[in-house]
Amino acid sequence: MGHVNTAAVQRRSREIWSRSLKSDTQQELLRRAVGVVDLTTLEGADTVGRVHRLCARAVRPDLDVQSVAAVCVYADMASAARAALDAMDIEKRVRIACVAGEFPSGRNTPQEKARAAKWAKEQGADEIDMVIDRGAMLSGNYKKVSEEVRAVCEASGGGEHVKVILECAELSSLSVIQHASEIAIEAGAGWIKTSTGKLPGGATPENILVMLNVVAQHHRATGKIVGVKAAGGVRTAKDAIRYLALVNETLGEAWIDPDRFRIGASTLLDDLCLQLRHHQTRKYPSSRDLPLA
Amino acid sequence: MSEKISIQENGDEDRVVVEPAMKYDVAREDITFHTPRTEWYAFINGESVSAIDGTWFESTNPATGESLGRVARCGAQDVDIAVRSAQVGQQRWVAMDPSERSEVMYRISRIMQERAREFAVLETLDNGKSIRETRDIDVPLAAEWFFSHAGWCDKLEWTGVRNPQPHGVVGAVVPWNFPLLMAAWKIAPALAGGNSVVLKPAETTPLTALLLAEVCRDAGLPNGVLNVIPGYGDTGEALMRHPGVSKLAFTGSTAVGKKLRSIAGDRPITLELGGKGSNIVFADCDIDAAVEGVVWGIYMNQGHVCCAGSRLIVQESIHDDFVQRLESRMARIRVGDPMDKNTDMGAINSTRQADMIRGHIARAVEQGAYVIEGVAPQSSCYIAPTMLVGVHPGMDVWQDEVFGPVLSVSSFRTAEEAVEIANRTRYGLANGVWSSDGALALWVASKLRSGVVWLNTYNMFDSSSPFGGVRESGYGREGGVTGMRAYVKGGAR
Amino acid sequence: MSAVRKTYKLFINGAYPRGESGRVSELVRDGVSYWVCNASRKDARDAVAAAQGASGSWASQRQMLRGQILYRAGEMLACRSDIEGGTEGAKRFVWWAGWADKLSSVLSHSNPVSGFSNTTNFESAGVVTALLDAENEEAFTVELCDAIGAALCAGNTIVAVVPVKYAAQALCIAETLSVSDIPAGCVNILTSDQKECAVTVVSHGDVSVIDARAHATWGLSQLDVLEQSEAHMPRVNFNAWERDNHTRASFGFDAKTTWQPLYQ
Repeated sequence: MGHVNTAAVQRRSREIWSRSLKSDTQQELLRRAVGVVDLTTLEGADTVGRVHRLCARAVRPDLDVQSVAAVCVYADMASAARAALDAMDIEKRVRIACVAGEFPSGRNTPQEKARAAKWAKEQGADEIDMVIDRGAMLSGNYKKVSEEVRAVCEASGGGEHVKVILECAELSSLSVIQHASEIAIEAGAGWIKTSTGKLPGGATPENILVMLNVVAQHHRATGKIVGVKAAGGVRTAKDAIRYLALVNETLGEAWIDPDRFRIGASTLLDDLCLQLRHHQTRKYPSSRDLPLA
Repeated sequence: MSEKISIQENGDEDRVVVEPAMKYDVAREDITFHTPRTEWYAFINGESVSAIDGTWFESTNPATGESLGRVARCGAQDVDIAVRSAQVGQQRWVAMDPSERSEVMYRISRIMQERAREFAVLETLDNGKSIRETRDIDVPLAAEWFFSHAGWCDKLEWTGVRNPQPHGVVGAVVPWNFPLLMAAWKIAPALAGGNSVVLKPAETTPLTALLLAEVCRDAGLPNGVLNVIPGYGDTGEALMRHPGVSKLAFTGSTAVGKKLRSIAGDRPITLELGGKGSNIVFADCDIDAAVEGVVWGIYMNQGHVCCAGSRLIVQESIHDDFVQRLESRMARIRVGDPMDKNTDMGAINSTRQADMIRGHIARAVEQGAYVIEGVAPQSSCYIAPTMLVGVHPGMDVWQDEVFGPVLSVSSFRTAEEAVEIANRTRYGLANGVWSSDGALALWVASKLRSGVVWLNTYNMFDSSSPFGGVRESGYGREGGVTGMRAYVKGGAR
Repeated sequence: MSAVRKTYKLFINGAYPRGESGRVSELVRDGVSYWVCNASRKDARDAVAAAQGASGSWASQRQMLRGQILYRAGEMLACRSDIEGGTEGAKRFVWWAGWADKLSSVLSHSNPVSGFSNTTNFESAGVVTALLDAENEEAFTVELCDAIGAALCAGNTIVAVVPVKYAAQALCIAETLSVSDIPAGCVNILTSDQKECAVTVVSHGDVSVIDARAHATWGLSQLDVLEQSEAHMPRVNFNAWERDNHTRASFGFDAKTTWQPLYQ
């Protein structure tokens, strides 16, 4: 695909960002946003107790609010998550996504990353969020990037549930982001994801639009579906629903679906719930009204 | 050489499948920003007056057919009074210290910014274009035009004119496609140069110019410096023929422009007329960006733009893919209620214009073009974004300005051929070039016969950037140093 | 007469810190005694650091927006009847506001080199430092506003060093800037009678332009200024500026000429 015209991407993404999404449309999109959230905790201080609390919130974000798409945790917390969800998630909707393989730096060999992915699956992960080697991408070693994606997909029993984190903030140019997306998809990735969330500058309308365009082109050419995950910096409900509008106007309504689009977030869920409460009660609630995730 | 050059040969099998998008709830802007009026008066010598012969005409909302009030229809006598007031007003204006003139103009700009939403709503009601465009483009740009030109009042020697002097009274006639913005493009530099203005707005869209006149009065513009005389073509002609007008400024159709050129005689005139802009798309460009640019270039403002990219000249090797992507993208354009903030394309400005556009499309089909359309509501005031594929330069639609949301598509093999095809037009206003190769893009830009070239972008405007055309698109530029120069003349050493 | 007496501090990075050294000088106005800060070389260092930090984004700010911000500074100053010469000072801001989106148009040019697109554009140099003094309060206000307006107009940021006797006015003007949407660090004002403060701003490696007609106020000769700034070679001015020209602003530009071959 080649070079990306940044100004054009900015223009189109800003156009969609200025959509006025009110009343029933807003409520519908808020609910759908909850449904595509990967509720995340990736802290050094995570414990079994903390993961239990997260899973409880994931299954039931609020009264009358349906569950999120997945929880996202470190692989060594997968079994804790599995135990919690087995107990609480009666409808078995919430999946377990684990970051695996030198997260967040991406600095390791394809073999090591594959090993880590395999182990994560053994621990109970349904989905693997891997990181690419950005140094390799920026120095032109595309072969390595392709190899590591391939290796992780194989170790995970197929690429369908493998998300490849590009770390857009480090790739910085939209052309490189587009290229990395293409490499990942070519190598078998079922998903491309913007960021680890560990660096400032995560998902932006511009880099999501570029990734959606790559996915659209791939779909046009092969009929295959690749998912996109927006992660890092998506904190407000207002932004979340605008990302859904971006998906809507690029790929169509059917793509606002947990099998095709996700938003990785932690505090976002609170804002989504508060906005939904506002729709019910017409008053502005306090965040203290919500249980801690 | 591409195997399937024309989609029309393959019929429906190749039609693009576009996955449906979720519909958004209507999100109308609050129209109470505009307080309805039954009467709109002419603005002459600082006062709101009816026409001497007491005639009026209706201004209607093209999306609904509702009346927005009756407007004073000025005749030859009103024109005469307006010009004489402008002559006296100009003396008052030029007697002020340049920095005082500057202050008045800054105030005009600030008030426009403060009342921006009101202007945007009124423009959408009167014109039919989407509120998103009036709010985000027309009104802010008009306010910036005044802000920028306010700064010229006391800096005229830097326009490159020796001992700059005003012309006197500027007669200005503006069209219906960007009513407020075109008024600003004429009034702001005229005032900055120390001139006074008599402005005749288009008959289908006189209202924002009248509101602007009130704002100018509130900002302290002395009586007679700005006069707005609504009316039809005869009013405009009477104005331009008036010997008291020292400089003429016109934006509108080429046909009327030619007439005014003769009427001007030895008086300076700037003409900003029609166009048939090309978007030249090379295979090495960012194709998604080019698709966006082509769409913005022809469907912005329903295609009622003189510099619209109404011709697409795409490199043959990417022709089919490009057309398919365009079709997918066109399906996402929201056409409908201009007052809905999510609308991309609003209503066509008048039934007359809508009929003309449909006539062009029909004729093109007769001559062999294949039509691809987006979606629009059933009402006759809406026309869906339309693409005509397989157009060759011999067809009428390739040569004539449609002034609607109709894109004609043809292809080229080499850069030289693209330049040749683009230049074979009687117009010369604007063109766009899409390529990732800087040297190539700049070379093409240097060879294109037009006043504006957009490289890897389209329909961008700024108060510091001169805009205008060549050949039958007119002459003279608006905006920037070059634009300001037209409103002063050199004095003796 | 207000019972709550005003305190005059320094204006650095959008905030009003006291002088780091604690040194103060007495300033008597209308029979009332004020203790104003006497800025040291550390304050000067902080001010230049602030100006340098703000220079990137101010320079890449849209020119029309810079003009609007300068105009607002004029609006804010015009309503301060307590500042001597405020009306004239506001007019300087408005003069420069009008230049913001025109300066590069007027100066830039394309060069007719065959086979190339060759253009000369003018870019903001970075940090301007100005040593400012005047005969009386009114004249001082005009001089300070002119210097600030010119620097900001050209997309530069400024560190202004002013004598302690004008501290009250200078800081009142700073207040009007605080409410003008000017980003923190674009304008910094140091009140000082200390030679070391002037020497620091003049010799600092991050300074690109020196406006030093009033060098003698701080005990510096022209040669001192030139020698102190020799390491990084900023441009220096020792002369009075024309009030009705763009030169004070355009002095803060660097010309850049870019060549691009055409296709054939």
